[in-house]
Amino acid sequence: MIRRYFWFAAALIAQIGILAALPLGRDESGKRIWLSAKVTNLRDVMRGSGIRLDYDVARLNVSQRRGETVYVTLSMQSDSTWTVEETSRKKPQELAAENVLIRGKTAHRRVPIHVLLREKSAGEWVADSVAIGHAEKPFGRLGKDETVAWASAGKAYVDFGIGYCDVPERQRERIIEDIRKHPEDFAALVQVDPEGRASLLGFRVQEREFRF
Amino acid sequence: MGEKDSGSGLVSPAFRTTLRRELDVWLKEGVVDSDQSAAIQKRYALNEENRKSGGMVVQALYLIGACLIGGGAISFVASRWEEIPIPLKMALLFSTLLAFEVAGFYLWKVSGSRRKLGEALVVLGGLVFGANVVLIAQIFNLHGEPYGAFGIWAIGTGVIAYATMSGPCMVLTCITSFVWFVGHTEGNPHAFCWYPLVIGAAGLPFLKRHSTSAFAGVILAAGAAIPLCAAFDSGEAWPAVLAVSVIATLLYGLGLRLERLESARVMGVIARIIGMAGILLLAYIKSFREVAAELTERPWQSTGLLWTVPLGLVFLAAIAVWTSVIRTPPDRDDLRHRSKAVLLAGVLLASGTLTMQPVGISLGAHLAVAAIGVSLLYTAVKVQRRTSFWTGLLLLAWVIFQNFIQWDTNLLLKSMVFILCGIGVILGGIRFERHLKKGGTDND
Repeated sequence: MIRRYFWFAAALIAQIGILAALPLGRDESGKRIWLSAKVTNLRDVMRGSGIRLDYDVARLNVSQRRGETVYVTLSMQSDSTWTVEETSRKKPQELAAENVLIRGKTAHRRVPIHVLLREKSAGEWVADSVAIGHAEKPFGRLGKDETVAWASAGKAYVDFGIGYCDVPERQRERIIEDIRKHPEDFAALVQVDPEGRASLLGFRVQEREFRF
Repeated sequence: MGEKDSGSGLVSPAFRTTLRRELDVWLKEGVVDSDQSAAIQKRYALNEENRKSGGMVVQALYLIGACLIGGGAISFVASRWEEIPIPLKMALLFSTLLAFEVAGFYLWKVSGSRRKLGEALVVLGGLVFGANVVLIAQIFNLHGEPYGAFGIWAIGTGVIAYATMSGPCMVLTCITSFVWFVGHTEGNPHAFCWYPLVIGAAGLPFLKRHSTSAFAGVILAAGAAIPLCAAFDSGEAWPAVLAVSVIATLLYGLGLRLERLESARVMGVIARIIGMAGILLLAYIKSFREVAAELTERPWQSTGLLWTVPLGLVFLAAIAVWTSVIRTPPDRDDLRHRSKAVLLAGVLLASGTLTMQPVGISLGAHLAVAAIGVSLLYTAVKVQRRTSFWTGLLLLAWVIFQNFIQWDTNLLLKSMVFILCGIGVILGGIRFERHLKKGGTDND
């Protein structure tokens, strides 16, 4: 019986030890950078969902096989924004001190495209405006002479594993309001370790920062 | 035969409930006397079952209540989570884990008053450990591959599984370690596939204690790991398919061998069911021509060859087990016939894959299902088993239906074949039911 207690106590100590040791594995050696991004699901955020981010540096020009590991070398521009210098399947041997290497996986997704069509004269329709991205009613309530055509386009991108961020409940309304007012002034604070692994630490809208 | 075989062990709770009800009627009608009634009650442990099922209801209520209270507590903490300082958060996480596991251990091993509830709490503690890993990673902004969290979770559940010798905790360890292994292998596709050996060795103490849940967890984790290794290492799909056919055949044979051992009968049944499910599932997937065509893309261009080692070991094990099964066939008539069909199906699936032709792969799959279907029909007639008859008929109907959906033939011909099949099923069914009536009762 004592043996049984001993092993159970040892197991509990091991479990607590493992959990307590987890923060020691925190890697502080990485660089922290601000990456500009767009929020793609503001309507869902209003309903209680987290934020989905579409990074400018994640766009892939060439269509690659899905699920391949790629390394993206970023360089800082004079206006403090980061741009892609090189994308390669192999980890670059050398990296300039001012550059940042970020690792991700190639991915594909379908992006819906809505076109608002207006009837100019009987049977003749013209495109009025275009909305790209997920939205239930991208043009609001339609007039009698209006209709919406829908299509989708394939989009290749690099998934850095930082495309989703939970939003604290108490800050939700302020965040939504800020993003709605300044959708173009959104940037994510990302920590990148020497191996290129990225983690999302927070974001800012214009000058207001939200750290988690 | 032990007492378990004679009544209490191998009958369902539903059977016991019906028997208990019927026994009262028989006693009133004088069909059985009180001594005979008592003997039947003892044989089928009817009073024990009554007590057990009452206990189960109470346990279920405990669990549902505990889950609701737990859910409420979690929601409350979650609503204030951001405002709680980190030391208090850590204290909350640790105390929740300790509360579940200590309470579970006390009820299960110390007082022994609520053994099942105690074990369930220990398993819940294992789940809480996993949640704690994720929450601590979130609190401290730890980053890394998501599968790493499953590796840590597996270690945590593994130690508690060993300390308490809990089969369900071992199952949790199998699941979490398997998820970790998949992530790890994806990143290291050409590493040696050591995981099945390690998880098999880790499960040995549980197998010695005849823990059926741990046995199922270990064979599923180890059995799924080998095809994955083969797929990642080779960069092709067909080695994985070949591995599944060999492993499923091995498991069925192993099940037959284990069933001969009195102490491992349930484990044998589990292995046999998993093996049969694997064969039928694989045959179902391969029977689609599109899938068969995909399997033959870029054949024999393996990017690695290490996968041949675990697959070779499994292949040798399958030969050894089936040699033993052939030498000493099962006692049960239906199993004896079905074992031959399963072996044939396994060979057909494996050889069909090796033809590297879509027609060969698809044909092998269809013939495998047909072999099992025919054997089921044969044994159904031989031992008068209704379930086997209808399962066999369903499998054969599936083969015909599948072919006629896939092949672009004349619609009139299709309609004729379907009508003939329908008539065949009805006539066959009627004839079988008459045969059952004539021959006596259904064995089921």
